Amino acid sequence: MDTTLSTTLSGMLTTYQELRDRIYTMARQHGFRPDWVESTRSVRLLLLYDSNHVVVARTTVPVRDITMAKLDRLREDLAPVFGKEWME
Amino acid sequence: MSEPAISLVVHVKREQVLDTGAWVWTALPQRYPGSAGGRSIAELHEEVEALKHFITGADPATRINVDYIYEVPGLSGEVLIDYRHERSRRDDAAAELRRANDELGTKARTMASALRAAGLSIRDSAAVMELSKSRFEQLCQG
Repeated sequence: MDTTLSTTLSGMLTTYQELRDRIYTMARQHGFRPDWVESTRSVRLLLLYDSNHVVVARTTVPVRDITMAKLDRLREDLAPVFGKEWME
Repeated sequence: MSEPAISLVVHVKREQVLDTGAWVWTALPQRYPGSAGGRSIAELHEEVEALKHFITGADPATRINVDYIYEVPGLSGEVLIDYRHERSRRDDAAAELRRANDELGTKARTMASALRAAGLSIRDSAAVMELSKSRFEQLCQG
């Protein structure tokens, strides 16, 4: 990922590595456990568990060909547990 | 007993990848989380097939019918809807024809047996049923 592009997207996360690291950070902050279920060619499947081992969120994290719509969807999927601005 | 089918509506749009600018296809399930992508429509379909049980949270045994809605600039949605409608009509008609053929086959065999049992020759039986002699013989053997 071109770091210049990251900057032009106003600090938004735009690579899989950035998304994964932010998810780990947010999960730790909120006391959730991330579980990567499996992978396909384009995404990794993510479940978030609370301390009672209940699934609190389910989503896919893009690993390649990342687009705005995919980022928007990921942001929406995890907003209920991480807060609206978790990706900022 | 099998689980009832789930209907999954997926919006498909063309988008540019943020880093390379390449055009790809993005799949966005409606009313369910997640997304998928493909560099071709066929690849996107494969991805959605692989993900659909996870996306819906359904048991792997559950049947999931995926309905793709394509957002292609310059292509009216009605064109695709019309095409799907006509294809569906054609499929229904083909299924009805298969059913009618099956029923006709059963009745024709019953009729052929009844004619032979009544003492009619193969030639006369075929004539009564408006079939060729060879077709009638085929029917009796089947």
